[in-house]
Amino acid sequence: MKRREFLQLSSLAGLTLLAPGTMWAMEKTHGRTLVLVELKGGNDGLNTVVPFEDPTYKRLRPNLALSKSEVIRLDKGPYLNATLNPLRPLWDEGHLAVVEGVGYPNPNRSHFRSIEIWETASDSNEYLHDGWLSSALPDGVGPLPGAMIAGAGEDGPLRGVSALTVESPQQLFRHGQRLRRVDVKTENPALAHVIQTQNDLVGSIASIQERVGPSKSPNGDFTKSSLGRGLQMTAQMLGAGVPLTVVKVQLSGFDTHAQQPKKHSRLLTDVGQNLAAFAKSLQTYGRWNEVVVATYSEFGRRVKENAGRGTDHGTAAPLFVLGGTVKGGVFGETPSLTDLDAGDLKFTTDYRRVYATLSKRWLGGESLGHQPLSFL
Amino acid sequence: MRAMGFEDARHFLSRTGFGGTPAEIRQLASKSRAQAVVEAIDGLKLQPHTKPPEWVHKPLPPRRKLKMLMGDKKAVQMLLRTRAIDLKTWWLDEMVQTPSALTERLTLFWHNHFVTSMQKVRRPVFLYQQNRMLREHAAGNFRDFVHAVSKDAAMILYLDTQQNRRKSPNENFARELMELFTLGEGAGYTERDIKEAARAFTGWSTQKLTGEFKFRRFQHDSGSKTVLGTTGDLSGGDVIEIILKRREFGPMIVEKLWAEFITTPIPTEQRRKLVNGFRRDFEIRPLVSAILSSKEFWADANRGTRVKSPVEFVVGLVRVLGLRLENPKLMVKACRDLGQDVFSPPNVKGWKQGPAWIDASSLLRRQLIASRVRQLDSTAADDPAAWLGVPTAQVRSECARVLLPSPPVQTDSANLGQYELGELLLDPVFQLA
Repeated sequence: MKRREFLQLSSLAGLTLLAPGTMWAMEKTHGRTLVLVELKGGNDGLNTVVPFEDPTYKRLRPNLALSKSEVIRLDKGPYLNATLNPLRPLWDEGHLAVVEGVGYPNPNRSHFRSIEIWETASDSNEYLHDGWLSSALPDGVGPLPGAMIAGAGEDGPLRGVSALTVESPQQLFRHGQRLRRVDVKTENPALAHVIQTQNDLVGSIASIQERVGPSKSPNGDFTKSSLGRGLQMTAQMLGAGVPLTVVKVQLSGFDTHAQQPKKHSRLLTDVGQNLAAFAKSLQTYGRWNEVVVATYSEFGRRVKENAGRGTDHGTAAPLFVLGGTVKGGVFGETPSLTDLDAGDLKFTTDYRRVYATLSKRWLGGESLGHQPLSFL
Repeated sequence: MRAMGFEDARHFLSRTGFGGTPAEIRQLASKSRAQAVVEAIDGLKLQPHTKPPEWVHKPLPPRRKLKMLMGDKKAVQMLLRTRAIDLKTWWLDEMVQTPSALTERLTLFWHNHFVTSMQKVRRPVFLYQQNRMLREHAAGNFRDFVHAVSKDAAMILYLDTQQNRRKSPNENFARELMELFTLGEGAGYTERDIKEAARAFTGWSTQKLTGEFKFRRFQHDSGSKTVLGTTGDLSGGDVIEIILKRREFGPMIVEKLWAEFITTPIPTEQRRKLVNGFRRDFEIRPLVSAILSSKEFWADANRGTRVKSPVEFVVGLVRVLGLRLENPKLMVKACRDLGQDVFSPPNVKGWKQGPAWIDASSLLRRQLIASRVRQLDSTAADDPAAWLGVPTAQVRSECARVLLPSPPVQTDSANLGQYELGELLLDPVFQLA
């Protein structure tokens, strides 16, 4: 959104709606939006982007290897789990990037610790607190409409940005009703700070309500999962002109230690369908060029299947980046299935290179000391 | 001696604890300010008031054996996680139950000074042991305190002292000892002093199971070192003594403790006096006493000017309103959601205090919690008049007087009863102490 339009939005609501810092920040990110999709639990990368032609894949996964009818081949690209078929048009349009072998040195196989590493962009043995976006985002971004956790989930990569968790627009508006604007002058700096924070919040919510309230929820084929609801709400807000900068959504259940096939295909169906629906609604709104979506997960899974028709915690995995200005294709090297580290894939792309790309080439932030990739 | 009155008593209880119930405020109001300080200081406790979780007395077997006993790594992680939550619940509940809220405020203060975190230490029992150590020294002798901290298992693990070996010294503890724990950043020491001091702490380690201090002689560098101008075969203990004798020592601790209780800056003359006293005997108790007795503590400029920390906010709600929580674990979640996960500060610098506690997200969460409080059972909700100890006609004004440090700014208090209580909890002024 251009500054002028943004000011119009402010004046529409007839209030001083947003802190000046937020406005400035929107200029800094050129009205661009980043949507992070957390696949919680450790997504099985090998059954997502499938090394279908590698005999080792079938050898190490006698029960879990996908069959010919369970994969699709992207045009001049990799095999995907067939449940991701809705993403095919995006690939064909050149809007889908597959980043291969994403991970980090000395991988940690604990959910808790590994997601913390991913969220804070730390080394394996480094303990950081704030999410990586707190340093990647230009100063002044957040809380709303700067940063939002759509649906549910921890703030994770947004820790330190003061992101609001919004379950639904209606819930946000209910919050708005509870909060009142306070017009009291005070010499007490602590009280002034609380009042200012509250008034900013009231203003942000009012401006969002002004826009989103009369708008319709996008039609698209969204599911009722947290991912579906989160993306649907995000699409609606973006369509209504709410200048979101960063949004996080999540889908849980990827920790498939047992009876993986059914669970995993249900999850990926949800991912494929909702991402496609999201892309479609933004295309309808004419905003697809201003949005980038990236998936991530704390780790991939062990190459060899376990005895319970499942897989255990692993290391590197592929991730997806999509958007109207994303350069489609495969980035990074596919990890070898034979040259393993204690049964796990060796990463080929440091996950912070993905962040560096999103930060530097999309949000106008720093490159976090890592070389960006060329999908943007 | 002059009775201090309701307003003073309210101020004292909210700044030295988590806020007073109407009965507590009234009881204190009949005493003098000096008496209030003496009683709070005399009431400090070395032992916790409530019983800790049973498991703190039974050390776990070594990790490998535990994994064998429990089947897999996941079960072990679950066990440690459950214990971590147990421990957090225990401490927050201790803050609610204790007759000496000042003990808890000081313990929390030192937890945020000599920072360690469950996130890295991973052994809940060590954080329990450390908590006991913190409360024993909280108003004791700072010099003994630093020595105890340097041998504390959680600290040794948190700042990598167990990896500090003769052939590969680790400077983490030595650096924070000077920068964050005693002198202040860059206050009269150099990088070289840190390197040399680190050598003095080589071989300091901990018993993995019991958390007892262990000196590994063969990992210790017994060569000559020069720290802050003193040369010799210095031990870690020697280094602490050297640091505490520096003329740079004192101001940081005095100012930090002052800021815990008083939001206006410490006047120069007052600072000089308190620093000199503290440097002489390292006694924390008289320092706290002097701060609470100062005219700045009682001044109007120091009323309702502190943003409550999440712990003050949550524990305060429970204590003051007499909330009956079915599950006290809720307090842990509430504090974590608001940004203060006890036993897990964000980094070695601890939580940022003050206005930083309130941003859009945390304010909204505080409001959500406060609005839910209305639906919970509490002494305050049972019978507001009885809780406040006033006739029904006075409930309205009295309620605001108890809950808020200054008049409400958004509450149009036309109605009576529980609804209004809820309204007051949503007032911006309720965020302040």
